[in-house]
Amino acid sequence: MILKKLVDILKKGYAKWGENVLIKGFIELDKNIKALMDTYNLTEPEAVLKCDMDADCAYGEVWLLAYKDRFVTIDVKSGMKIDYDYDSFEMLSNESFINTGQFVIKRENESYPVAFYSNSVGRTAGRFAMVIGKLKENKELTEEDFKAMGDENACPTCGRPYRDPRRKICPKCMNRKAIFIRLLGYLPKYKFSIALMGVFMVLTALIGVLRPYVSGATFYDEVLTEGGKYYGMVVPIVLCLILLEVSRLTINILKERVAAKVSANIVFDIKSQIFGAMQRLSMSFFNSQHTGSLMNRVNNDAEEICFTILWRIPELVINSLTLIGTATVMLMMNPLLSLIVFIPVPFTVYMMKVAFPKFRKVKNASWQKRSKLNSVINDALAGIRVVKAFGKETNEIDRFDKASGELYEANIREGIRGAKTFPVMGYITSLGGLFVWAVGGAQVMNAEGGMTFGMLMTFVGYMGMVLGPIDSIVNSIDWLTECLNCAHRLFEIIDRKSDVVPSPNPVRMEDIEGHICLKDVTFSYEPNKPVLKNINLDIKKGEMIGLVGHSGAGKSTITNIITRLYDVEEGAIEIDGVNIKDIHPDDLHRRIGMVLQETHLFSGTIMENIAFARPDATYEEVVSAAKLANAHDFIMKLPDGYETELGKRHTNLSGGERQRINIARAILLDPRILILDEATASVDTETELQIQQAINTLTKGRTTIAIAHRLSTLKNADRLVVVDRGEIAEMGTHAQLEASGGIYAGMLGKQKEALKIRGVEDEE
Amino acid sequence: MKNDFRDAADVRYLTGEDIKFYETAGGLLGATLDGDDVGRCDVLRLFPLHQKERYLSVRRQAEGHRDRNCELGIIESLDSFSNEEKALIMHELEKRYFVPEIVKVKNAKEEFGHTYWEVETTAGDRQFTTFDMSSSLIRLSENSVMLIDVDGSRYIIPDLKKADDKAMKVLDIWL
Repeated sequence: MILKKLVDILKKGYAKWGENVLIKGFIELDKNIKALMDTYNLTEPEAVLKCDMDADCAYGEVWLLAYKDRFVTIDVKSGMKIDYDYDSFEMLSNESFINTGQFVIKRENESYPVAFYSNSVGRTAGRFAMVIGKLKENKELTEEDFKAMGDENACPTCGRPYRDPRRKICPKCMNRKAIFIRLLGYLPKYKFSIALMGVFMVLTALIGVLRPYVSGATFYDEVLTEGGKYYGMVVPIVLCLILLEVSRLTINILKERVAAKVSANIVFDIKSQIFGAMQRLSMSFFNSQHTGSLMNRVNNDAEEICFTILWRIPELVINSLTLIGTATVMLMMNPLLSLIVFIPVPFTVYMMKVAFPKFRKVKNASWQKRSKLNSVINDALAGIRVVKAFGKETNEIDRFDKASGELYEANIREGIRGAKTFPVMGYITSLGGLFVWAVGGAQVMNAEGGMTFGMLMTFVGYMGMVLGPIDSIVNSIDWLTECLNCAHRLFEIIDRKSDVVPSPNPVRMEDIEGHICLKDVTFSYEPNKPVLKNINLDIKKGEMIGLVGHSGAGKSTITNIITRLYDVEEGAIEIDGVNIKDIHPDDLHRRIGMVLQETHLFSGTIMENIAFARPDATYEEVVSAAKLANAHDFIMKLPDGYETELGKRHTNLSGGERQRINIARAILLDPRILILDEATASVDTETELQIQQAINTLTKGRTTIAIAHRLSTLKNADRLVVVDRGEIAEMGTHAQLEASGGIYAGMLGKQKEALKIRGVEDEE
Repeated sequence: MKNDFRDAADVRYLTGEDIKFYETAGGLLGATLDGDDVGRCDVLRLFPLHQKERYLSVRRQAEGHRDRNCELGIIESLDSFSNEEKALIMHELEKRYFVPEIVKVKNAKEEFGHTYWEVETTAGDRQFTTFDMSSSLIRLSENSVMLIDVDGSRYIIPDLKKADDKAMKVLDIWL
């Protein structure tokens, strides 16, 4: 049933391009495998995976068919089938190598390889292993399992792989029209200004067409020629031309003024919309994106879009209007000559489509070399102390010479290619001009079709006006695509749903007591890689819990899910008996304070930083909080006291000072639940002592969860919880755990040893 | 004096005397170290691009073992191992470091910043896609390069001098 549904989705057209590479996850069974299934009397499976390698490490086709009681592998080439009854093994897991991966079944502590696959299948392999796990436990497969499994990395329409599998945008198949229409949605707000711009554009185009006519046909034929309508009226006609120029200039200035205003507004709209959308998203989004690329989106993409909408598109409109206008006027004046004017057009288009990309490629190459050279320079300068300390200046000079030489060669190539491209282009244009002179000249001499010298001059003027707009029209495809790409990126964020969804009917909790209960909690950041497994933990109101364990054991993850930076997949977290998913986010965050190892301070004053979570706090409250956090005295040493701007010159706070501001921030929130994640890890012993004092004040009467590598920091904890590989391994007081001789005792021993070594060094 | 830091690092170099390899029931690599069975092992190359048979890290892989993935030692050279053992190790390495060489480029088309490759490799025909050449092309030596596709799979072009025009057209500006 579910398989059918999925097949329907995928039937739309699958992996036409590069079937071997692109087929992943649950897919339609093809002819070959169906024939083999018939041979072996196999029914429709619950789930399917096609692996793209055979047992000999060569590209091949091996299908994994999952049934309720077993799974089956079939090698299409050899036709070999192997059955694996779920009872016959403990689990199926996937191991990944460099380019490839393998499924292995585990049986009595022994691993048996089952199938190989390349990285293109790798992403779905984990899901498949999970599906087998579910079937093995007699659980029903849900649509969710398939959704994640069908997590396609290639466009279902054309089969091209996505640039970024998380983004799922196919540059070829994206719905350009829809995006474009949506983009235009930013405009109606400014319809008056935009209409005005439209009028200006039409006027500009009109004057553009009129000018060569006046300076050509009218001036030569009507003013300079005897018997002309305005014979001898040189000054008025020149004034007329000046007027045209001035009005064109004025209109342009007006247009740009309006455009500048509208574009600033639109950029503002887009940026605030996207920034707002980003803030709503959960942590998992930020973890999967580079900060740099996010900054780019907020800044560059918005500007690129606006530049396109307000400058390039109008430019395109003006150019098209001018082209149409010019062509019409020319055809009306002299059809034959008009055709001659258009002779170079195909060549120009050809040059732009064929020769220019070649030039661009060479240009790209020298750009590559330039950035390589820059990075060499950057490397050497940024690391100049290291270079000098190791006396390796000559090496750096050699490296520079090599990169510089490459750039030199690339530049020469660019120059040569440029010399081949541009003059040829100019030559074609001027050649067309010569034709116009020749044919037009002859027509004037023979007075053919009423051709006059002035008309010829008009044609020559129009000639330049035809090729310019064509250039811009031909290139419009490129920038339009780029703009739509940007737009797609932005809409993607704007449309994205947060993984952490607020409850539709949240429970308001004015006061929280601080009783936390984790029930059978399982959580993973990435599918199939659980970071926490079946965690059960009951933390009483006012209790201080110390979380201990090796790096990567899952300690911080526990605090992340309690603060609901992420939602758990299985199990539940309750505070005072209410599932945190149902608690109003405002109440939850107002009652949970966090002090982390990373001491982030925002730009602004110390006062503002302390009052970050409670901007309405009074001076007295802020001072009290700072005092309790042992921060007051160092703040008072700063010339501007609480109003010291952070991030400005001469306000370099030490790690310990920054941390104490963070603690003051948490104190001011007066939370019922306090989370200390390595709060004192990055400071020296004396500062730690001060911070510890501050923390002791802070933890009184509050439910506290503290993580620390330095175990001595946790000596005040009521209970210690040892987390190991995502599971709770030990629990008890310091004394109990030390006596038990388990993981905690081992860690304690190692730390004591480490201290001893330090002590020995000190003595020396 | 010169060896001081090496002594401090205390890297264990293994020879055929210290460690014996065998094939596990599942057809994987297992080993006994100093006579003790350590179960399933992984062999990793320290310098995977340029040292295929030297400097290999042997890691314990036995299921459920506390010291899983811990290094048992480094094999500097395979000379002291029996032919059977060498074959076992090489098989394991080939599986882990499977990187096909491109024999022939049938087609390489650039579109929307992606390059779509249709190639013949030492492991059979393959189609793959690379994106952003500056980060997906690694120069191995003067005449050989490695391509990394959008899925993270690698392909080697062993000799650029013999590479097809189609490939060179794409690669040219990046070399």
